[in-house]
Amino acid sequence: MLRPSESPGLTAPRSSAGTAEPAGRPWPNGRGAWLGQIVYPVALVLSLLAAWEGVVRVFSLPRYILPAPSLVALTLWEKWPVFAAHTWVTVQEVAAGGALGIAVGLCLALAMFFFAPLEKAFYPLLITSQNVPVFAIAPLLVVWFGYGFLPKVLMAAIIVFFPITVATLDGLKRTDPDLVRLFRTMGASPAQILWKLRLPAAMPALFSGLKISAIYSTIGAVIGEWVGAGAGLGYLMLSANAQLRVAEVFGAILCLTPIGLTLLGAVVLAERVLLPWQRLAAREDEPLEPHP
Amino acid sequence: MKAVSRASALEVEGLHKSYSLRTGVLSVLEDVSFAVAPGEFVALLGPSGSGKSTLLNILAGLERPGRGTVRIGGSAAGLPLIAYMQQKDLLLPWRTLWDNVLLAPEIRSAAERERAAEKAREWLKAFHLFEFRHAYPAQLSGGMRQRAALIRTLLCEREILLLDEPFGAVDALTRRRLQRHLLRVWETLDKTVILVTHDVEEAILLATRIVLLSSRPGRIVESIDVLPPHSVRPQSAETFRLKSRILETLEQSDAAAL
Repeated sequence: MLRPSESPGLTAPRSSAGTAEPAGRPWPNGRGAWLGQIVYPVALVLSLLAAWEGVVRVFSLPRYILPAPSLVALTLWEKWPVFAAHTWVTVQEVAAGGALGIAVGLCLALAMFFFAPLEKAFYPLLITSQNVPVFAIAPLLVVWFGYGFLPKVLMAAIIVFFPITVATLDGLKRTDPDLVRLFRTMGASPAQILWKLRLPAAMPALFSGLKISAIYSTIGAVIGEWVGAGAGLGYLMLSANAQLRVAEVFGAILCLTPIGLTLLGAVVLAERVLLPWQRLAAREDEPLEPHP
Repeated sequence: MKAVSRASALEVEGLHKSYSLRTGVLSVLEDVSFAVAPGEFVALLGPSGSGKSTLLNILAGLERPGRGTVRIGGSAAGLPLIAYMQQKDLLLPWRTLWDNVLLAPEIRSAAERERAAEKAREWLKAFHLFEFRHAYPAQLSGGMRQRAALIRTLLCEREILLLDEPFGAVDALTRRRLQRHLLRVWETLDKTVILVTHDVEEAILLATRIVLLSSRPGRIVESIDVLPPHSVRPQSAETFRLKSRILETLEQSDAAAL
């Protein structure tokens, strides 16, 4: 989709002898900022954990009300094959649902972009559908598709597709009309305008949508599991909660969060690799020369 | 001077264009007729709102004429006959300079892109951009981007270049440099250039002929032959007289319109 450039990597061009014009900008050194980004949140989490541990010990809270972090860690350690098995189930649901949601979201955005009546018909429905709580849809999916893999995948897809559709449609619409005219004077076909112009232009918006979707993707699968399932982290949470094995509930939560975070990380990484130009554009906060 | 053959590269006859607005009909161009010979460098000069850009859009095939005809190279105006460059550089931010300048041949075919690579290399070197070919537009200054846009326009491989205030958005010094680049292009290649500008000096310095447009509705007021670009001395009394004459003519047409 995006043509790989001939350049091996990003090199900030320096002013050469031939041109007196300024080019490139000194790269802000990110090392110090990076360190802060890691050190401060880690310190905060560690002190919160210490406070939690202290409160549980000082007040001798029963483990079925609030287990100490150390107990949660111990539970995870002792029962890791159980946690791993349930995590794997949820990961599969999220992956399949995410892929389906992205595919549906992209197709819907393209269809709505190219057929205005379709957009007029679909858009209000789309917005309204997001006002229906997913909790209300989940039991219906169980009625229709049973207790298996499919209803969870559909739940995840329902959560994922919406930000993708809205963001992509927005990106496609915001393509500079002057660029479209330029392509037309070059004799470009509508397909070329789509592949070489509209889709690359919509990429940053698509990635914004993907980031939101990545964060929320696990919610759909877990709700699907709550409503009716025999495996998965949502199922594990619910059954452990019913038996007051609260440490296991916390263990399941700890297994769940990395899924969304990993997905978000993957999206951010993909964005950096596929859209290297975007960070350059973002850095351009002080134009050297006036340009419209 | 270049050899100018009989047949026109471009011929506009009795062109009218108006837009219907809610408040009535806005006439933008009225009975515009002119011809441009192959290899000519014509400047369309007029105040803002004289329909210059509308005229270029019609020549580029992006807008339909209301009435009248446009013939390019003897045939009716169509899209793939001219190369069009705007004030905005319109470089694609996700492409490197190299991939940007090769856009037009790439749209024709992969083989064309391959074939155009050598020319792209030459032009990038001539415009001092070769070592920046792997940079993205966001990494370059406005002048560099505009030069890249000019190269991209050249690599469209069209006989006629339509330039719509191409240097309107850069500072005076950069503009002067870009103008020299443009002259070099015009002298090296056997291209017909139509330049829209509201800068009288730019028109005198670059063009072989200046066509004056009145303010709305745009009408052709006068067509003035100018000395070939390199014989113009910017500070000479002759240039000064020409400049005042053009400004006077434009002012008079403006007063007549009001």
